[in-house]
Amino acid sequence: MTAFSKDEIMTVATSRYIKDGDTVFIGTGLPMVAAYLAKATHAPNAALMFESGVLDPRPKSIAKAVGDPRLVSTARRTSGMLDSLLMLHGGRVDLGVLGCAQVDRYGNINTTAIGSYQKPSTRLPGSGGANDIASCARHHLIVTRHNRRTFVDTVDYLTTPGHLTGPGARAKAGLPGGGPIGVVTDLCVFGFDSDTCEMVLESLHPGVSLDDVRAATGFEVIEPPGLGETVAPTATELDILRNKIDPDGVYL
Amino acid sequence: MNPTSKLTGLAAAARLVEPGASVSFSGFGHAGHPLAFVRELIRQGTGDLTLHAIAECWPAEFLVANNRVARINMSNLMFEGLGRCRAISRAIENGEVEVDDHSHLALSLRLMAGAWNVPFLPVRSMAGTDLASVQTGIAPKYARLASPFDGGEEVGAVAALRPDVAVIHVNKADEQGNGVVYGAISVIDAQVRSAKKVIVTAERIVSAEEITAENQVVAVPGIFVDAVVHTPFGSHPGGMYDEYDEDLAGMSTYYEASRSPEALRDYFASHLLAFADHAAYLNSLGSRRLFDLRVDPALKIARSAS
Repeated sequence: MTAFSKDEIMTVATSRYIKDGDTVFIGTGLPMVAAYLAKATHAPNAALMFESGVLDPRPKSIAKAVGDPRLVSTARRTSGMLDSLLMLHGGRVDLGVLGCAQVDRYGNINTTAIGSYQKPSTRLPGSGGANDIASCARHHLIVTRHNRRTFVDTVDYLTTPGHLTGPGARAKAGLPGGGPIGVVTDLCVFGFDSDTCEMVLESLHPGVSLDDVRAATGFEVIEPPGLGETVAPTATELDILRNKIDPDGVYL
Repeated sequence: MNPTSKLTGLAAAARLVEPGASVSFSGFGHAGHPLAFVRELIRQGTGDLTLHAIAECWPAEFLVANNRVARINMSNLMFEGLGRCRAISRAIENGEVEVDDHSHLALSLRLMAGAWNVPFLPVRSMAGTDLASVQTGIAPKYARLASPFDGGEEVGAVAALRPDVAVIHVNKADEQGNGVVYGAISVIDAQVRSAKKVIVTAERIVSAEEITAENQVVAVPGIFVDAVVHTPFGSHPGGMYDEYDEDLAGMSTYYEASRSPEALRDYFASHLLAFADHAAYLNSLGSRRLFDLRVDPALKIARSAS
């Protein structure tokens, strides 16, 4: 097994959620690298959609931003925000990939404010398109670093819906999308229990223990029967990441 | 007889924004923001503004850093690749600016409702979250209602917004304000159609014939436009698609300064108030620096060869 970094296994684990032919709504950073990796390996027909109005870009080098000119100049279609977000709203997106500042056991995300809303201790950037993605994409995936500041019992502000208060809550609220299907961190991968809608451990990354995950999580971590290990990045995947997608190490 | 030209200067155009006005600016990421206009607005001292901010991180950050903003209807304000907008974050944390948060789509649809002259538009986003339940704006933004059709399905609705002024930076425009924008247009269409006044700043002023030759990419219909200003490098230090790249050094100078209010005062003194107008600002940058930012395939080949 080739040695790999925490960022690299997060990226590879994220890329495996992207299926060939999917339309994937995505932001910049590690999720974008993961999407490029998926397109270069098992999902060549995945199309990426960005809130800036860029659809299906094939840039030669990694973009720095959703508004990066190299996304626009290699896209199959360029329009505007209402166009891309209304395609999402119409149910045309298979998978969204989101980051977070805080997340609870139901996958509810805060990216708005730490502390009180009107006079926060830390004001964060806000929803952007994240709430639209989590509301309307068929499913979404959460990708974040793992620590107790992020994995909390209760989010200070509910910006972006996970499974809200549990079974049936999304349907009752009128949300069309299916909600979060997984959480990829630098320690492990979570899924969501189909009965309780709560986060359940799916696999530990190589070298990570259950205690490591518990120490970094602000709510109870449920150990499922037959807990496995996350499949490590292959030499091919690492080669593509290091030499083709992000040779300058901008993200990884 | 020729139609009347709407061409004017930056100072006259900026005076169309009255103290206390609500404003919406073009741009997305680090490109397409009318920053020359924003600098002039700051010089004139116009304050107590309300921003309807979807992707106008740079205009909002500059205005908030100069204490010109009272409240923001916002969906997202951050500097992609850099981090939080520090002046905005500080102002909200100190309770100096009031905010009401939305999703991108919900805030875009509020402008679209204003544009279409309907009181609201339905939306499925924001349901079940604090974006819907925490309403801190002057008027309510979100409600639930029953569809009058199909058995009365309940949906969310967002209230229309009509900004007093929209300021849109374009690649080129004719003298009547018909503006061409290359690349992604962000929410320009909804901003232009909802605002009571529209100001166009343009990299180039061209003939009506040149606009007609590309009439499929006219993002700003001139019938909405009140003033047109010739504003080359109007998005600096940000970029403008098909014109010039982001000035990464210039952006970084600002971002470093934004770590403290004191450094920001120095930044605006030396990068804004030191210049009487946009021409003096460009002159301080010098033609070589501006030339090096130009987007041009031939220049790119020449640069890589040298």
